[in-house]
Amino acid sequence: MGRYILRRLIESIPVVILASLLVFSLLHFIPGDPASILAGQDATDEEVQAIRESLGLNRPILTQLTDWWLGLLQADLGDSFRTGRPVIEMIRINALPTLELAVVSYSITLLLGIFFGVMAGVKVRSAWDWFVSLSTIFFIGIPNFVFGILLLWAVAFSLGWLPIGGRVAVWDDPVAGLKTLALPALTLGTTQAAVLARYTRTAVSQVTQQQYVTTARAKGLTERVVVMRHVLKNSLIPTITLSGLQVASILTGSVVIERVFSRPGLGRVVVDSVQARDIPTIQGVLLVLVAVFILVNLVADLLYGVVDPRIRLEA
Amino acid sequence: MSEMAVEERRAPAKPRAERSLLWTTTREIVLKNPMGMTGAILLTVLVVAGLGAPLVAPHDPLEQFRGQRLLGPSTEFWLGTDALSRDLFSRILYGLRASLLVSIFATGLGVLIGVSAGLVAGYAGGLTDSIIMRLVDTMMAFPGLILSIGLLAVFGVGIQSVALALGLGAWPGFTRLARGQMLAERSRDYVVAARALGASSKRIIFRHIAINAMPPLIVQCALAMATAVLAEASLGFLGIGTVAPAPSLGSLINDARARLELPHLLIAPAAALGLFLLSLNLLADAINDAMDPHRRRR
Amino acid sequence: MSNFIDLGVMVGRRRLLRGAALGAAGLAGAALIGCGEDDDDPTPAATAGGGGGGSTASATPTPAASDIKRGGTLLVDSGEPNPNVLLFGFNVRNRPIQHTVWEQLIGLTPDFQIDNRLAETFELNADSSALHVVLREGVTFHDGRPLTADDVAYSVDFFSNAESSGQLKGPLSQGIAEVKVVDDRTIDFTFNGPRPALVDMFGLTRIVDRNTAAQIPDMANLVGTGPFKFVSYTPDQGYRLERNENYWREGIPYLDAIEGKVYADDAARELALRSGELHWADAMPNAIVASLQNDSSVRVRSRGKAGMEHMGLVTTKPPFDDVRVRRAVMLAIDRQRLSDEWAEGIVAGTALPWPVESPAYNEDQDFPVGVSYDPDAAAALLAEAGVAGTQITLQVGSGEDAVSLAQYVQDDLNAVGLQTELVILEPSVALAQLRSREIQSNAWIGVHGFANYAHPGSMMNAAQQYQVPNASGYESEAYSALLDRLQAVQLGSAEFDAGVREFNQLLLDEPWIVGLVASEEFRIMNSVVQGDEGGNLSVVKSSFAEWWLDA
Repeated sequence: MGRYILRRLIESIPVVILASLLVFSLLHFIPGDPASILAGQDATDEEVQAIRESLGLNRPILTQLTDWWLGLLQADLGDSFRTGRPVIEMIRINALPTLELAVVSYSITLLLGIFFGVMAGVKVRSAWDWFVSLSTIFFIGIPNFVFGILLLWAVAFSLGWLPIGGRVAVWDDPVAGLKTLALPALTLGTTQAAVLARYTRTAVSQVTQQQYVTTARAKGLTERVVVMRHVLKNSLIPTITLSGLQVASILTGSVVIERVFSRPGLGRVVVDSVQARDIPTIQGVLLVLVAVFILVNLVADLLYGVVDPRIRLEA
Repeated sequence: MSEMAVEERRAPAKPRAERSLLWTTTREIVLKNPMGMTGAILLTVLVVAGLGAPLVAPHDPLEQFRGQRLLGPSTEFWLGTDALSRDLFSRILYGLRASLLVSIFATGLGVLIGVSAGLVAGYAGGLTDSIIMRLVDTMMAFPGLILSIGLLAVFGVGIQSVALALGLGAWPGFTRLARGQMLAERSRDYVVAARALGASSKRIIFRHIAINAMPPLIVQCALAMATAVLAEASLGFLGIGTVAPAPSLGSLINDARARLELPHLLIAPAAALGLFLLSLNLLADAINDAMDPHRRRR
Repeated sequence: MSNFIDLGVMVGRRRLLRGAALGAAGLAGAALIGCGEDDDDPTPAATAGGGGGGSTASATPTPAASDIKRGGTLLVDSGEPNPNVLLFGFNVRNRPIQHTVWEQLIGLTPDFQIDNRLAETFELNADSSALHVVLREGVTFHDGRPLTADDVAYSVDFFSNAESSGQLKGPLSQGIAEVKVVDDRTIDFTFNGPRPALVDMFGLTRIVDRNTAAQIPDMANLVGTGPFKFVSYTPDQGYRLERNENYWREGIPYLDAIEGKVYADDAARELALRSGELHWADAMPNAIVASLQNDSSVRVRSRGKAGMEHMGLVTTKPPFDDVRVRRAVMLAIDRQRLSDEWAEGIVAGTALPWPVESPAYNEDQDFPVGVSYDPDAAAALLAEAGVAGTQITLQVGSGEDAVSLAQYVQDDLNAVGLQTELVILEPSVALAQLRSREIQSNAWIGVHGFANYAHPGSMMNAAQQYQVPNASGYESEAYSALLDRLQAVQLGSAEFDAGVREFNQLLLDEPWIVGLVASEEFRIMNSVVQGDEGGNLSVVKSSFAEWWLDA
């Protein structure tokens, strides 16, 4: 097991290095000049040049790269052009609302996805099954941000049950916090739940056709026990791989959903930064998200290895 | 891909068996599968409406009709007018057109880069393969939409940039697919035999791949197109896709968000986008079913 | 209100960089990007006969003490402050910090009299070519150090020098010939000739602590003499200011603290205002202002016409080298439609670059009296010039509102026979072209803030649109002479009135900047906020210091 973990870790190193190189190089060919935007309309060329110098934009590209890498090792992602603050600080602050949204969304995904998936899988062609199939089709056709606006229109705008947007930190005011979280989390959570449910349904229906389930049923165990003890455990193994992807989808989705519900977060930072040509911030956020993705997938792989010994042996 | 195309052209007329396979497959997809049929019909309508927007649209999508601002649906303006007194229906058609063009271009670019890289990786093996596949792994590690946003910062905002950014994000999937096919073909008996006879195996391999890889490639294309459509809409919604005044489905939806009291402004473009995505996915599913012998038997 | 509103930034916040506004970056770039001030914090007007600026110690009328509730924290929003331009870029979102931590020598009273702040005496000589200042006694910085004349000299120098930038730089560095610190409380300035408009600049020049001024961009240690002390700032979250117990005005401020909050976007700010989570916000988009006007839990106060959305014409190449074509544009714009639709009916159309309260503003010269919408006359002028059906390019920086405004203009021009093609530029490119005065297209869409309504020379000094050289390439000896004359003219004199009338008429007759619609700034307050009276242009009092919460 230790060797397996080690191997997977080593395998991800070149990806991390390549990713950082990609992030760095891409954003250094931006056509617009951040110094020019900062200076404004009435500045002179000398002023623009001075700003460029103070931002370090006129150094040789290789120097900028090595400085950037050295900075990364010390968790220094540079300073934002837009706010003049360390990027790492902006990420730390904005990661919180995004994380909060992602955690609640993912909980909804797991809860709804597994529940409906199991129900549909155990009773193929039942109403449960139809419901899962229909919602899958629904969520294929409805992108998450459209679903979000529809929810917003129905629940918040027309019925007035929940706030239209904004964010209150859950630890400041739990009730208000959850109210602002409800719609965005529901949007992201149910979209992914449909995917998970379909996946779980397939896995469960396959497992239920296995001999040991038939045996268990034949032993006279109640359906509940059969499902809980035999079906669930075995059918959830393949869904672990999916979980890594789903966490990634939820994080990506939050970029757009934050916008729908006027929430602060990493998504807002990255979009604002594109418009302001805030290179260090874009780089920082991209890098952090990529790192999270690699990590999440690694954990999912490792978990898979834990529950399914065959994977370990293969490695 | 280009190499494959050339090979296709050089190849003699398809044997009868192959042609009829193509026919049966198509029939399988469209006629025998209600989902596939729905997808195909929907997609045809949307493609005709979108690509033919200049002919189909009742009005110029940018023309302002003075004093006819934010109207509801009428015979003159089928879906009403927007805040700048423009015809919403025409704007949706042109948005659909933009979406189509972007997704076609992005998918094409993805196929071009991805398939060539995959074939090269699979054929050459060794270090080349390792380098290409590490690059693929790296690209796959990026969250799709965020990568596109980063690329947009490089290219600047605009429909061409969006197409390019999405294309550059779409290729790794195709690389994996093409490489897998190549690896499978290389070890086939006929190649080994051909090699033993001293013949060049290149030609024969590419021809076989072209035939065998087509079904999964088509499925992958449909899915990549759906991804591109969704991404284009998301970027438009975030305000970093197409540049106003050009309409995009995403930007139309974003405009509607500010005027929730007029829900038709939201529902119309959302429906167009939804049907587009649905049709692509249904069709991809149907093709997949038709190609998969295991599922076909069911 | 003062005079200089940083429209570029204000408009920029929603239209250009969407909450990512970079300091002073405005799309169209307010001419006076640097000079954002606000009503409560006025610029001095050189009052009629500007000679001897009066200097009685100010006694701002105080409301009946019994009504006022002390304490509480005012929750304000003006977006993410921009530390890089905290002092010199005059960013609208920096205002709550700018206006409470630092003070100027003087301000303005509602009737345009000089209102002494840190100055006990502020005296101009008869032709406004020299200034004598005596500082108020017993004023200390937040760190306890007494304010001295050296700090004033330092601050003037600070804003005159290139690194500090901003619109103060030009006028101060070109206008002031000599600064002489007489003693700890006395300082004398000699100007390069009569400069009545410079008084305004003193009204904008904040007195900074010379020991910490260089650290201002760090936003960690902001030291001034103002009613509130800076406590902390967290990017993307907000900042906190607390009551200055040693403020030189007895019993002021009433509030314990001001907390600045940063919201994700305008919709979130609107929501927070409605729910009472936020007490005060400004720089809201027209559509939101229009809907908030119907909400009884908030008060919407206009700060009046605060800037001008305009179309700039490049006069150095065809077709706008022909003055008839430029006049045609002036007549082709349907300003009423811009006001009704683009501005959601809350801001008026205009063709003159002055606030309505400005002595330079003459209603009879403005839309709809002096300039009216006449597409037929416009088409006739174009035909006469032989350019009917000519293709022109109109450039605009990307951004929803700007591009939408450009489309209205495009539609108007197409209607009279100028085939207009929109060129949408990266904001940085649009700014660079304006800055270098080299516009690639035939015309552009922009916005500028207003200069001092008390003295037009201030705007002439800072707004590139009306300077020579300008991005339109408009110049003439007569125009340069007029600018020089306006610079030195005393406010309220007959020469002043004749001069501004001539300027206005020139702008309407040979338009190089075509006014479209006013840019108006609205601030929205929760109804618990009291003491904020004076939200309109002409009333000015110390901001935030006298506010209190009736909670």
